[in-house]
Amino acid sequence: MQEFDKIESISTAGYGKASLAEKLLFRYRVFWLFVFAALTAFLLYHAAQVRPDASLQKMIPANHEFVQNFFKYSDDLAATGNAVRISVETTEGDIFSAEYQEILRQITDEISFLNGVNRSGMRSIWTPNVRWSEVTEEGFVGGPVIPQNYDGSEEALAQLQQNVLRSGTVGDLVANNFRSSLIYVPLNEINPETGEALDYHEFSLRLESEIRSAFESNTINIQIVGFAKVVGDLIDGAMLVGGFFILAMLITFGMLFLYSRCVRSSIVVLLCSGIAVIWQLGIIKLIGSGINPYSMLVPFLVFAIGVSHGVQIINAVIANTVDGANKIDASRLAFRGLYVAGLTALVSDAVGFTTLMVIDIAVIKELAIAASIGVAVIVLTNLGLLPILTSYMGVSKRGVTYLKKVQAKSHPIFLLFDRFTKLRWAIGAVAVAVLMSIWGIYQAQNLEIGDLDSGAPELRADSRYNLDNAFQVANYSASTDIFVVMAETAPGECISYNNLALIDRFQWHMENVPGVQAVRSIVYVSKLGMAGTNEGNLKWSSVNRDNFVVNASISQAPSGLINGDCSMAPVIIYLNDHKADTLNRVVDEVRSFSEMHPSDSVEFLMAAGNSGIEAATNKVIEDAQFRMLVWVYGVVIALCLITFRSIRTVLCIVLPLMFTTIMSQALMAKLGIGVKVATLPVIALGVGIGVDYGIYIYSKMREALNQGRNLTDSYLFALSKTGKAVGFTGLTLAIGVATWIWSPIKFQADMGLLLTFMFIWNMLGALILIPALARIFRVGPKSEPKSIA
Amino acid sequence: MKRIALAGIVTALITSATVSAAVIAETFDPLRTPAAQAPRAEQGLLIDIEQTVHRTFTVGDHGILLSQGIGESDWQQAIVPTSVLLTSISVVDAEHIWAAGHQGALIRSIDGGDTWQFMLDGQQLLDLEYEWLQDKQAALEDAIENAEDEYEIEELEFELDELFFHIGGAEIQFDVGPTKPFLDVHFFNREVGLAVGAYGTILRTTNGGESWQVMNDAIDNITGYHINKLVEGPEQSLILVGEAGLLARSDDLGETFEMLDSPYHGSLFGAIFDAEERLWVHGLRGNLYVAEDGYSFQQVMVNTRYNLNGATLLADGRLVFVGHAGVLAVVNPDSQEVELFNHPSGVPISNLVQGTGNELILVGRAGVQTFALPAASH
Repeated sequence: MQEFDKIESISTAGYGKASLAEKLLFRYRVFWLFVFAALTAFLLYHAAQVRPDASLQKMIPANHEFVQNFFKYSDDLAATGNAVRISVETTEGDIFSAEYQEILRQITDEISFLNGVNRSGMRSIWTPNVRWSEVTEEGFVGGPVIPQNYDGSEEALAQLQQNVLRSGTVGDLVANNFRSSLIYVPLNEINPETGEALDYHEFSLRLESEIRSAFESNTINIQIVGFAKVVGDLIDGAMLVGGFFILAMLITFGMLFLYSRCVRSSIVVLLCSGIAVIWQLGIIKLIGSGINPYSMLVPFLVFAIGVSHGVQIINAVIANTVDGANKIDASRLAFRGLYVAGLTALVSDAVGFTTLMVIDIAVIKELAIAASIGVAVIVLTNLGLLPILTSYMGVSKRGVTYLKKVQAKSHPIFLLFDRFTKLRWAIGAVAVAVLMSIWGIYQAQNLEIGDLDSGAPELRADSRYNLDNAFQVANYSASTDIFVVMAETAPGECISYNNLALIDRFQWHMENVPGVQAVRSIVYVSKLGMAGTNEGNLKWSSVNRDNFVVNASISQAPSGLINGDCSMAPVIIYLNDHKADTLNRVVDEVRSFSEMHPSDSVEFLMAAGNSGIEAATNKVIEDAQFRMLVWVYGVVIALCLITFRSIRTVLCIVLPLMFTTIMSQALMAKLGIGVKVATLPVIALGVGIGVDYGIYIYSKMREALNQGRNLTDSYLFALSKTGKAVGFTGLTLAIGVATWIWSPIKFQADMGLLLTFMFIWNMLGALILIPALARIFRVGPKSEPKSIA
Repeated sequence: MKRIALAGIVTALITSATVSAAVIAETFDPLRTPAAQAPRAEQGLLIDIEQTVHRTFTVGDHGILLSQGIGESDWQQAIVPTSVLLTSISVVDAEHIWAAGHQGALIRSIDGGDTWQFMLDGQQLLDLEYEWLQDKQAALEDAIENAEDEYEIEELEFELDELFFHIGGAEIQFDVGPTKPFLDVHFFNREVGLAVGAYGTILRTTNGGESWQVMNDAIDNITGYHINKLVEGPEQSLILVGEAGLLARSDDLGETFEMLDSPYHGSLFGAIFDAEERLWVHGLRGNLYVAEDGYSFQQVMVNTRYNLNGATLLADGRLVFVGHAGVLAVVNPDSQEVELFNHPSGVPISNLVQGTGNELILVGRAGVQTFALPAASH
């Protein structure tokens, strides 16, 4: 007790008196250690159960009109949507060999045993539902493509080849070059027997182990494409990214050591930041939220933010030790000096993250919640636990000696940055920033909404999945960018003549839209069927008024083109790509058709299919983009105003952030990264965390200014107090996220790249532009001492 | 105040609802809805193609009617008063052109294809056929009244029963609406022409479409087989082909027909006369026949299972037959040698004309396509 009272009497400049928080924290150190240990153990248990999930529902804007319409009919649309396409390629000759057909048969069998496969909907050369038919003088003849008495002989293979050619499956199930064929595998989202939801990750793993690894050989290649595979690969990638965490920890440890030269302190900071991550994950699990490939970023951020705040504490503890305090006093004083600034910075981070909630997409909301929780947790672990730990462990002699050595001299880099408080340099720096901003704004005109790459844009262009996808696109006649419009009618009316006629005209309207490759629907099938039932005569391929005739024409229709109670017929639009322009054009044309042909009986509802959902996502992103910036800047400006009560100060802090925002948008445009679910939050994160630098630097600067020092001296003071910490924070944050650049998941790499850029750019912006702007806005005492210049 | 405002809003809503209800169009009817102007009309399903001296015309799905100046590359879409599938075009001269299609659509242009008017639609066709059936009923009832022996009466009554069955069918058709497509139209001159189609429909006009006569009985087609094609031959003779080997000839501008011995019992899709005035008929599954002298046909083997849908006579005297799966059969009519080609698109081709030089202009499932024909090998 006595020593505490003694400490309270110590009056160091700027430290003030012990707060209630400080008294509570340090008086019951053992109790708090016990509480922290117990909570950590409890939350570790829960954190260990967190599994990455990649549910489709969470990645899309669930409240958008398009998605609502999609949900309304998602069961009916399952047959058209959720399937994997497995192509089996031979590198020797063509598919009409006994060896190839045997492997294809085995693979088809093997797949039908996999959990989640809708067996009756499966299609391949070897499934009995794939048939050939022909019109002869006697009428229709036909049969399964695999001859009844197939025995692998030359004759049987010749027969098979003939059946394939007349089955109309070339380009669909058989590659245009006859070197591969395809197994179409529709999936049951919910197992009809057990009622269990399909585990995409497990399904994907089984495809790899039981199909790809089992059957691939020198002569056989297997390509697998489909939503389930994307999700599986995403989760695989996400798990790999988990490994990056260890890498980030190791690098951070190295940096901590270089910074402090004190192994003990470095370990303590790592430990506390690690505990913050465990708590964050545990709490997420407890509140029933999950971790997804987007919110996986949060542990990295939490760790990095934790380290950067921990460093401030350690820095102060060492400094206090240098000043002669014992380990308890050093820790108490460190806490006393930093908890307000730290709290302010962390609160601004947390509030900045919560602004992400304006984006109505579950994964982003989860990310916002996770990040806010993480930052809140850091307040406890790195502002609370860390000083308690250092009060027991103290710091090493080596660290103290090192700090003594560096404190003695002013770092040359500080002197360089300090020049920006001079008018000439200030004007120069600001002019350069303005010119770069103009360039940036010009570049940012090219910034596009949405994903720009082909295939599965979540994954890298050279990922196995996208190579497989490119193979199938090249060898089969089907686009993978699908926009589905649901033609909704009264129950039982989906194929009544007038509705079909309008859907026919709609289909033709959409076929004429640039960017549309083909359109398929029940109408298309009916018209084909009409020609088919009239000996293939093209003159008949028209929708008939007679319902009996229509029924006959669609008797061979594949499932999924009308729903169970015949109240909805999906119109499936195949697109050239999923660029925002293409999607916008499709959406506009669907709307303009509905305006041109108002109907009481058919409503053309958008949208399902990957491109339909993407159109909705793009719309939400586009709307949220501006709102989110307004919010995040609004919050940051408000916080700065509260803290510093000066508009000029706020400008000094916020303008560099805006500069970074502009430059990062220019970077995105230059690198062809679109504004999407993954990159939109990054801007908010960049601003939210970037403001920390400004707060730290400016609060120290103000301290000196309040003492009547001029701007140049005040800035040098701020740099000597926090400059190193700011530089260190920028680098730690950057490293934490930079490892993501190597993620197999494209959007994680994009996030990593952008965040790294923003953290470093924000740091430089703060160090250069804050003094420069302060000079230009004439912050500080009026009497400008010329002598210093 | 608030109440008044609310009442105002409610009134406004009701009014706007009524107004918008009035705006909502009546049920969509492609027969009487003008064809949409389509940037990709050339890539739609096209069925028939024919040329005047100056222009090429083609017709197809969604009321597409395109024309192109000979030797030019751009197609212009005409403004057409219907959106049904047009199955046939018949060029009379540079001004008068006819087109026929589904739901009894018959349209005509008298200004070289710039503007088109309805000359008949399916509703009128239903009326015509119903009147025709009633006339037949009246005639039969007369005949029964005037019949002498019982055997004849029995025969006529049997026929009358059959007729009632058709009348019943026609009455149902009034409820369903026009369903029957015309599958071909042919005009000999500006006045006299025929339109034929599904279930044995034959219409004839002698006054440029002012009035039409139902002629279904002009051929021996009690079953009502579809009539697929009319082809004008030498001296204004007319060949009619159809389902189940239907084959007939007229020498009086389609007023009367004489049934010919068909070489084939499957469907015939077309016929063509070569330069030596030999008649060729083609149909299902690569079936091709030529009448050497008169009408005794013999088969010409074409090595394909695909339907042969259309034909043209080239300037060098060869015949080209086109069919499903991009099949092109080039036939030397004298030697009867057949050369088979496949259009790389592999899609069904419906008909063709010769473009400039050796280029063939094809129409079909994939719209307008071309094919450069190798020169004749001598």
